[in-house]
Amino acid sequence: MRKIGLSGWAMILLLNGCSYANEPDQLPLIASIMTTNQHLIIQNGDPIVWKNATITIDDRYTYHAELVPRGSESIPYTSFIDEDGQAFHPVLLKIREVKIHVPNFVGDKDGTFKW
Amino acid sequence: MSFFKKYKLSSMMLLMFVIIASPLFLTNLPMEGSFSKSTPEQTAFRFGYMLDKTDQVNIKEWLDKNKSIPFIAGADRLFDKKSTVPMSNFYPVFDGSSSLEQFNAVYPYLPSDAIENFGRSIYTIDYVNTRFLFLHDKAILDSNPTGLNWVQQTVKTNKQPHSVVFINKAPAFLSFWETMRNLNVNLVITEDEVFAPAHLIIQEPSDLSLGQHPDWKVWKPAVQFTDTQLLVIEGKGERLSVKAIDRQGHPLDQLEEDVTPFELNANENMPTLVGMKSVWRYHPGGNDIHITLPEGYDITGENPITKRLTVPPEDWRSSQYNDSGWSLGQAPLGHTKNNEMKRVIHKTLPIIAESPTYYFRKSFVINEDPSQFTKLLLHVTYEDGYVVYLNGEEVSRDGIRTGLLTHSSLAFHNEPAIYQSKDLNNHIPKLVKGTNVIAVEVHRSHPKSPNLLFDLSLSYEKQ
Repeated sequence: MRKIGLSGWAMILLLNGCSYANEPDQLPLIASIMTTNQHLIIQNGDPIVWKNATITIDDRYTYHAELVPRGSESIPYTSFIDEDGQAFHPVLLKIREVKIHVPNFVGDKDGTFKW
Repeated sequence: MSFFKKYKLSSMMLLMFVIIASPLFLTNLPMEGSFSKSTPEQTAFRFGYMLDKTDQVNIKEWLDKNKSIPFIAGADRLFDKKSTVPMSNFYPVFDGSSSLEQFNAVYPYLPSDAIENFGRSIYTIDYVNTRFLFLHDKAILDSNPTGLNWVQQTVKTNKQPHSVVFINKAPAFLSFWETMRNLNVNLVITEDEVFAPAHLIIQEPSDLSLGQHPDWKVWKPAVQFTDTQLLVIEGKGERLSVKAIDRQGHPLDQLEEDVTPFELNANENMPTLVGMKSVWRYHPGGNDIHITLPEGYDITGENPITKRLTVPPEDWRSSQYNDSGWSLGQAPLGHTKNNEMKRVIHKTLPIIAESPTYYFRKSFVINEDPSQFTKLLLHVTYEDGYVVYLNGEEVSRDGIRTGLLTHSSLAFHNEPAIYQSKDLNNHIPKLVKGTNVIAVEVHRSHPKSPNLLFDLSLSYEKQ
């Protein structure tokens, strides 16, 4: 019984690892993230193009894309800038979190994704 | 028997081993030499060709002097028939200075009756990876169309990847040159001229001019250098060169071709608007490449494009876009780590970390009315995905998602496609009489992928 309970918790933790923020006024984006030592690869799996998307690494380094087409896009880490104008440095820093925010994704509801 | 009963498991294993190893006894294992990881040496050959002279030549002396040239070809009249015994390493080109009977008698080692009634005056020899065809203008003209048909048959059935034609005089009629081009003949050499298909030439001699047919260029080494004595045709791997050398064997100038075989579409005999291996303007992907969204364009790509769209002049796809700051390079363009593909690529582009995309543009002129065109055909070489635009409008796309693309967009993973045919008949109205622009974007499938490849040709047929 204890084993089943532990397995259940493990499953919940695993599924939460790659999920999205589940706020009531937000919609989940269908996305996937891959990384290389120089790029972040974002796949827009939604049937629509994301407009004015903001992609944030570790709540600090942001990249703004006017349009993110469907399919995969590769964005170099040098394009992710913090408030001081410093670019994300993949050798010195490790990616812990990636967030995507698309305002007015459907109607007035924003779309979000958290990795 | 008691041994097998006692060691049952070991006996079974031994039996299994003998069964598994038994095919080895039927195989011829290499018993000598040593294993080497190095690639085998590229096939190489050298073949001499004696240029036209007023006097007869001592072929034997030339061969003795140039030991690295095992065979020499030349006009029949250059061979001194009285003083020298027949030499099987001299290949004569029939020039009419002897009768056909005399020619047959002097060169008994040549193959005969390739074409009926022409004896040994028309023949072929295969040497290393090249088929050499020995023709004369009379056979091509008088036997019309048997002579040209024989040439076509001989080249088409050629198991060697390359073909070189020797002929005493360059035929004036265009159908000969079109046939040579369609058969992908690498060189046509006359008594004093070297003809080479323009798209194959990678190193031009200092004096090269247009031939009778626009697809052929002609080099006259004996006019350029009066002391030119011999042409040395040298093949190494996918390179074929013709060197002009003087009496002392010193090189004077050379022409070099990239003869990498391509699988071309059978419709290559159509006239071309943009030839393969053309020179293109190119630019790596980046934020400085401006893309606009024409009104009515479906950025999701869910719906087919059904109406004509126009892009403003600042859009890189526009025919009015100013690409004068872009670099120039001859196709095939790209980059690769594959050694075989490295030989295909003419202009190596640097890998740009910022973007997986390269943009290409080329203008071309149509002097006739394009509405007369009945067929428009694209042959495109690419890896991994591409989109082609004619005068700013999309006409072909493959290997990449439909809809809006940016310079960051990744293609699907693909093997290189070599001159894949695409029917563009529905896009003929997008062509205009005068200057047209073809623009292409080629995307890699991964930002770390080392492979990107591009070349294309655009051909047409008219009423």
